[in-house]
Amino acid sequence: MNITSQINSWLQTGSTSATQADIQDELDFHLESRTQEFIKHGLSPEEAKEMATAAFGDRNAIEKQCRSIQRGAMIWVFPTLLSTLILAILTIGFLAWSVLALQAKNAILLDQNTQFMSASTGGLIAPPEISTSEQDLGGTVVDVDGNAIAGAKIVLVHKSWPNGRFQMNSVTTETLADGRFVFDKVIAVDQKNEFLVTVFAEGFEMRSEYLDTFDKKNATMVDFKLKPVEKISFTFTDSEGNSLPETNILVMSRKSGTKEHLMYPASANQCQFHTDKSGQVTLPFFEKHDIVKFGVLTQTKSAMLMQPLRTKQPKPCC
Amino acid sequence: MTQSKKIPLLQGTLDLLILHTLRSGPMHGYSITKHIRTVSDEVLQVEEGSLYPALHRLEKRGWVKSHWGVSETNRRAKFYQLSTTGKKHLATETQAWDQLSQAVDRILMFEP
Repeated sequence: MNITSQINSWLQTGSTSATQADIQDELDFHLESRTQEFIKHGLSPEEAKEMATAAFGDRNAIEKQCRSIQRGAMIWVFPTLLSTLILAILTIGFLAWSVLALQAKNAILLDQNTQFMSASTGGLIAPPEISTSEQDLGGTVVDVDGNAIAGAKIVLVHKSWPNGRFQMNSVTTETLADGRFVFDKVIAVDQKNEFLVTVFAEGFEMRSEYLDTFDKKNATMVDFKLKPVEKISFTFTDSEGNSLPETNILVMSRKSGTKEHLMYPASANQCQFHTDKSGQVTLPFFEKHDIVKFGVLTQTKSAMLMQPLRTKQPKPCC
Repeated sequence: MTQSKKIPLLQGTLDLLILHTLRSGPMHGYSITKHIRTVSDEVLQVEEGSLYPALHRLEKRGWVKSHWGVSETNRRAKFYQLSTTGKKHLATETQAWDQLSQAVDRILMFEP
């Protein structure tokens, strides 16, 4: 999509009145067509209109529902139109806030030290305060021509250190029709957060990006531009060379040139592929010369581990 | 036309009917309701207006795409068509529906 048509699209979708007029026009067209159909069946124009209105249901309620759905969609469109401005404001605001937050944190630490000292003489230690300030992490997925890719699976692994303890969890979402995705309130802004964002879009290369939002305070957006790829078949064997039929396989990494795209065991359950009876699986996420590492999950007493798997040389498929 | 008793649509099946109807190509909302009415011999009772929130929701999820065009009566109309992800979703939902309907059939046919 070129810049002019993108702007036209924003203007069309972004204008509330235009959207409302479009919804009304769409419903009007239905009622007019249905009225004409009843007239063809021998009803008078008045009777036909009455019948069409009755068959349609509560027009006001339907129009309201459509507007509400469209408003939801516009939440995505407006930030695109104003993204530069918003990012600039956010960056300035974030920097100012960080200075204040650091000052406040120092004050809290000083206060906790004071409380600890009083506790050692018989008082109770107050629990440390944890900020509930949170931010969204989002982005876009487009192809090399800039066209949105809808329905791409986004796997997010979130590393954090609340109260000094390491924690890692994983969530997934999908891109919407305009290629955008968002994870709501995953960034605790006054704590160290690190994210691995991996995208799987059928027919496009698998990619991942690593974000450290504490060091780069405006790193709340991640955009992927994906190259198209062909399907490739992989055959999996155990250490003795026997094929592994009906097995859940995980992608551990994809190395393309010098760049390595990763998946962590924490997100393993979110993205598994199943081999067929001959131990083969066909995947539409890799280029012919990629070095792809796969694994299977194994449960130990303390954790789920990703066990690397042997693969025969991949061959282009289909 | 068969004048059998009209049956209210089961909750959640309207999306499946819309996506299935759109397999034949881009259609406006009125054509979609007409198709559902005609093919079901007017047995399925769909409040016609309820189609539009469903269409907008499907569009938001990326399962259908829309564009404004001109209808067969030379009037401006909004046309919907299946997207690639919509086709995949339809395949999954159709399979789920087949399994459900076969399971219900088996229970109804069971003679103790």
